Amino acid sequence: MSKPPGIAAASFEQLVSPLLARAAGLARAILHNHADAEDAVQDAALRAYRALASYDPARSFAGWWFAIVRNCCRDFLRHRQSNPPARPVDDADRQTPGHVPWQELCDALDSLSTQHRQILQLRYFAQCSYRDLADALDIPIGTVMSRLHAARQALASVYTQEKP
Amino acid sequence: MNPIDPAELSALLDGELPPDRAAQVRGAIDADPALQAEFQRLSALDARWFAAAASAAFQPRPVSLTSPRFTWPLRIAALLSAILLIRFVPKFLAPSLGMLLHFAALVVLLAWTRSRAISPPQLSQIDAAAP
Repeated sequence: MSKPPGIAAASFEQLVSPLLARAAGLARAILHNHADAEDAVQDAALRAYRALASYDPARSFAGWWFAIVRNCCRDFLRHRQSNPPARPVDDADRQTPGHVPWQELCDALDSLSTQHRQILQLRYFAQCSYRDLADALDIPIGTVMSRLHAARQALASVYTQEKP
Repeated sequence: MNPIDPAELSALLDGELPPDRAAQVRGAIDADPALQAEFQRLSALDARWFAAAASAAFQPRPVSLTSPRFTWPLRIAALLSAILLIRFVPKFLAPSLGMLLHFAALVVLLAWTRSRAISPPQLSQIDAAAP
């Protein structure tokens, strides 16, 4: 793969740095594990850096970046399925004592369809705009609007049942 | 005025409607108690979900893209160096053709490794599109 000549790695880090905490939150919501989420974000950063030449500047950078984070998380999940760990992978986060709001939200999201779960994870954990969502999910903005609304209604019915 | 699509309530909540349409939808909400109640319900849930999701975020360890990595070509180069050095140590003080070949091979391998390493990408295009 040919790479265009360009600027130093430090600039890429500056561009990605503001998105890292949200990427970590998104990865945690998908993987339910702090350590795996951290590794997935590291992988995503490296993958994004290597694939930067293929980035289309007409798309939103955040959408492109969070799509890579999601793909890395998916790879982690696939790896988990083919190489089950000796201990449950979600121990670290699941054993956190006390009230953990994001886990309750994840539990509710887990009961939704894949489409609804994906768009809500990107909206709430990654705080994606509609343009980011359209680019991350490769769907038109109009579809983002209708799908997000339908997903919210679905989540509301589940979440209200769980958290009256 | 066009009728209100329920999805537009979400879009208004997200600040994603064009200004003129947002004004129309706000007007419709003000005029319709049922729409108003629905919008308030969505707003409350939305705030709750954002707060819940925010508790998952954490600052991961710094991403390093520039740290030197011991790639396979480097490992092969190191192994070849070790073998050839051992082989040619007795001749070290009198450089032979073998030693010259050894160093030439090392230079080629290291140059190849460098060309395979991650090169700085072009970000000027991205800066323009970055949010």
